Amino acid sequence: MKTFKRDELEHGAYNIRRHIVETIASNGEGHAGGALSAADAIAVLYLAIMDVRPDDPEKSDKFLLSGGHKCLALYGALAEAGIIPADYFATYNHLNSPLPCHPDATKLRGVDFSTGSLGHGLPLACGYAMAARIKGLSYKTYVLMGDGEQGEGSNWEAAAFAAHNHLDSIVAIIDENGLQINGRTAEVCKPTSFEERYGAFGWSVKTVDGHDVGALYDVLAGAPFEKGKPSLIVSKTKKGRGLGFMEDNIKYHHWNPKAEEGAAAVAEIREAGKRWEK
Amino acid sequence: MTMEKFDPRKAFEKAMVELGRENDKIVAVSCDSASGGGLGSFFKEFPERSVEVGISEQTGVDIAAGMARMGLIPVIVVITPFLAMRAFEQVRNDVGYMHTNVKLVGSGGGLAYSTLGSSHAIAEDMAVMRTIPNLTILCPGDADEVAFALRQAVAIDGPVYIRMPRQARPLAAPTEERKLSLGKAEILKDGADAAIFTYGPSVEESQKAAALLKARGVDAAVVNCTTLLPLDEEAVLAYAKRARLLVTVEEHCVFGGLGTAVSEILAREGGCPPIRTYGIPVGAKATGPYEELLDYYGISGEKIAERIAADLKAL
Repeated sequence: MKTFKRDELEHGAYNIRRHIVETIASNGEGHAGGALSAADAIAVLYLAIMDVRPDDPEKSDKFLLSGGHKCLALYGALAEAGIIPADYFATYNHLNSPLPCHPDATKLRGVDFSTGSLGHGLPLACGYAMAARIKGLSYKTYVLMGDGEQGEGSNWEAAAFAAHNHLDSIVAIIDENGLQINGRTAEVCKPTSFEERYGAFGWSVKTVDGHDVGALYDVLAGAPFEKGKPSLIVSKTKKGRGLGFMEDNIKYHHWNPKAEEGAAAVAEIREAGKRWEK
Repeated sequence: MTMEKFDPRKAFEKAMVELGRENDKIVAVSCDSASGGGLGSFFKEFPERSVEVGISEQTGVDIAAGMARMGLIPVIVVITPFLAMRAFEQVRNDVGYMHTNVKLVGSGGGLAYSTLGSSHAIAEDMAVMRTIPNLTILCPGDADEVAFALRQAVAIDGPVYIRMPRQARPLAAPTEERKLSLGKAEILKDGADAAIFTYGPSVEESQKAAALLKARGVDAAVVNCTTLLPLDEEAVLAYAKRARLLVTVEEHCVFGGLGTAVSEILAREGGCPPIRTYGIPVGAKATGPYEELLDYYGISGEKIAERIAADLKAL
């Protein structure tokens, strides 16, 4: 874990957003909305919290991007952390690129597990956490899920397993941006809050402003919140964060911009980056 | 065939413990299936390497996949339909495509749960599992083959699916005479009138059929395909050159299993003898005592012999 430096983390999160927007603008399509909502949490994990050692899996913390469609945020973090070269973004979605539209651990160094189908991250995290226990290893397993993704039943199998087995090396984050493809999550299917649901399953839960890198750092640095319990962070975010026209707008789960719209988005995001130009 | 019958689950249980003593990377994963699936002794001797997931098969497979990524060798035992169908996507994505070193054991394949209806019978597992990348499929029929299959599975660095038999049955041949080998079919009886390719519990029925046919003057080979994937193509092609009729017998749907696999080889080769695929029709849901159910579907020893005799006559 590194010491907290707000400006550095905000700059890192900005750079991840820039990678997301520039890559989609130049390659034509991508899951912009969710990648932009999750960018701050992923930035804080990769640039300040996690001990990432791609060549030493026994010591390396694990990160499972359960909603694999948010991969551009992960690719951005891997680039900012110096794990992959930034010129990989030019190959995004090209034939046999190491950066397809869902992360593939067999193609890209630094991706712990291939994801894409929702509801696999938390069960896999249970496997990593059990392996740590059996082998006496001290890595943590972080998993980032979506709020719409909580509709997958496998999450609730794994939530029960993790709590029953006291897997406090698991730190889960729900990127609660409030939108899924067909509507607001609250309107599609959200009978109770995630705090209530995971709390009832035996997890220790905290809620945080998912765009405040300081709040994210504090809550992640404090995990596990309770000894013997898995931790959940409900990260309240806006889908499409960073682009005014996209923020909290249901149209941008998947974005296929025309050249003009892409160029305007790149200009908008770069404008935000002027803060770090000297 | 031996006279004495042996319980395949006891053979599995014994082999698991032996392997557990030899290799401390082996982990047993149960989905409420430890006692029924032959993991009881392993759980007792190695509690620190035993994981009970409960009735959560999708999570069970993913827990195994996660553990395998960290260098462990998980052996997960699940009642077959809930492994091959309910958890199919986890098997495909997180075991097959990820090439994780997980040993998937389907407890009681085919008609083993003969009284429990279509939810517990499984006639589709080979059809789906044959499409999984990097997978080896082993289909033991008797106690010797079960021990062989588990030992081979653990030795392979990659995913393996074992379809476990359930009913006690004789050994297909005396132990000291067996030449079980990964990827190689076992020729239990030679013959050139017909060649029966089969696996699992259907081996015993095919042996019975071959004996009945012999009494009628028909010489049928019995070829045991314990390794269903990769299939021993050499054995198929050898009998395609010699036998007048090729027959496949399996407790599986007539689509997608061994019958399909052998047909694919013959179609590619061309100029082969006719093939008849004996198995279970799509949508079959008959229930009843195991032996009677085999007879009902035409895959008991007597029915196989009758069908082969008729098929040969019609040539």
